[in-house]
Amino acid sequence: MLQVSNLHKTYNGIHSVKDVSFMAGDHEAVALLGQNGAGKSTTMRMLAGYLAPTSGSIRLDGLDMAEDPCKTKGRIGYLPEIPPLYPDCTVMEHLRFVCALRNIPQRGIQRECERVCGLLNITPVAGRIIGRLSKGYRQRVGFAAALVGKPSLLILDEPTVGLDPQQVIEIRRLILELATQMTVLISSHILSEIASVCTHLLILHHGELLADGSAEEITDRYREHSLLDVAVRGDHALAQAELTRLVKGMGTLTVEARPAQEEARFLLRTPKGREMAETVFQALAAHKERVSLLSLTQRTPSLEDIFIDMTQGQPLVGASRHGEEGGCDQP
Amino acid sequence: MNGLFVKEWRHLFKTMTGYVFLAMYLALSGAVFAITNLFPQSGDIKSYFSVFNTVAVLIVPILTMGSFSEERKQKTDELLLTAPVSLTAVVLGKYLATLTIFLVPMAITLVYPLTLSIFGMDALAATVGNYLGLLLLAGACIAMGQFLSLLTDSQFVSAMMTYSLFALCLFAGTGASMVTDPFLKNALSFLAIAKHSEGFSYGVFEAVEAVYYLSVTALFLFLNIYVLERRRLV
Repeated sequence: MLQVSNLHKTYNGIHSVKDVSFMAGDHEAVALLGQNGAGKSTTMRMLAGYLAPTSGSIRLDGLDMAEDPCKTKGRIGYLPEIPPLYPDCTVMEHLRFVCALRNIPQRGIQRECERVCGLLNITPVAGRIIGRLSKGYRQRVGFAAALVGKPSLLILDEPTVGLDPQQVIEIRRLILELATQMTVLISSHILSEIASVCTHLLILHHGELLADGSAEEITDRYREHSLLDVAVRGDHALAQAELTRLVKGMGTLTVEARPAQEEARFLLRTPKGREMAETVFQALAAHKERVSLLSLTQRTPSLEDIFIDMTQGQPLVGASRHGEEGGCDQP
Repeated sequence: MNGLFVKEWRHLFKTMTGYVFLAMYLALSGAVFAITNLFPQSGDIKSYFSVFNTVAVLIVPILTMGSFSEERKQKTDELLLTAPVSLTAVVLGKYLATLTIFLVPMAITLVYPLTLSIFGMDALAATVGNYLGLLLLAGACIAMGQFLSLLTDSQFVSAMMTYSLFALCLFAGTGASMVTDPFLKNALSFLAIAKHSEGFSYGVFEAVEAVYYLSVTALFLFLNIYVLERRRLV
């Protein structure tokens, strides 16, 4: 059981993590979502014991990180965004060193190395120098090192970066398997990856925890919003001005994409019960000489929409849409 | 700490740093021994150490320049600092590994006093004293070098800072002999790190100088732990 209470981190007067509290049960896969600079890596580094929080506490299985750092760290496996590997060592030498660091008895080191190599499918490269391995293999060696000693909390910062699609599928499968044996905390930019692996989501933005719960719980909370996807061609500025006027005071407008500088897509968020499809159609039809309405789609918010909404219209890297903030009224 | 100790040894000899250090140590000590003892046919081991202690100070940065800077550059410090080991164990593991690597060529150079003893020039007390002085001096220099390695992620910058500090310490000795002001003379003598080993050269155990070296070593090891802890907090 991981208990994080009022975690706060300040760098040179800047609050990078603000009052973050959450709990993660045993054998639970937890996702930490957020844009770049949201405070995900800082939070993970504090949980792993690399950074000390400015205030707040981290307790794992009843152990307090501040009071008993060595024992607590002994229960944590951590894979940072850049795997910490010695490029001049062979994979086996590196794993042996990690075993020694994690106080694995001498007679059990070989067996433990073979176990983690088997889990990550790196046995064929066990004798090779790490510096000569591909990025994907290096990532897997880092992952294997994080699993040494069977930690009760596994922290993975962007674990699939640099892996090919087949490796990503294998790693996802492994994470699902590991989540039955330990608590797994993953950060990622890729929502589809998170959705397929994690049952518990944490959304961080500017260091603050905006949402904490299962994907269903979070989306249910957002069902009170109605989304209208509007695609137009022609005078984008006029269309944007018209839509801004319509949503003013009751919703938000986001410019979703301008793929070919001819079409533009806008997303209108309004409270449930105030659907605007008809109003929008009529307003744009009044300017049909300058603006052509291509499509008007009413939809329910997806996890991705919620994430974008929470983080003010700035989409995730790797998400299916690329857009910019519309700069309109807040609900 | 054992794992870190073994890793440091392996790392130094995998990256050639250890071999470069051994080669330079043995080549320079051989040259100094030839110039101070063999060519003038002198059996006085003191003359070898009076020169080599200064030279040894200049070899130490080869061992220490990458101690922490490379860990930081390769991000492997995250592995060390998230492992269930204390910061003290990390600092001491690295320090003891480097110190024992320094002992290897030092042990090889025992052949010099042995050679002198074959020719009947036996001065066991002076030999033991001089080796002890060099060991204490190297121990302090390694702690200082590792501290400077902690302050940067560039081996080159670390080496330059260490050479600058050691040069300052060596020049302080020369400066001390040139000034007349007693306070300044004492201050410069205190900073002249290699000069403090001279007391051991006559085979006398100089407790004051031993305390000086051990204090410098302890101070810099403490600073290493402090910097690592401070980095976690800030």
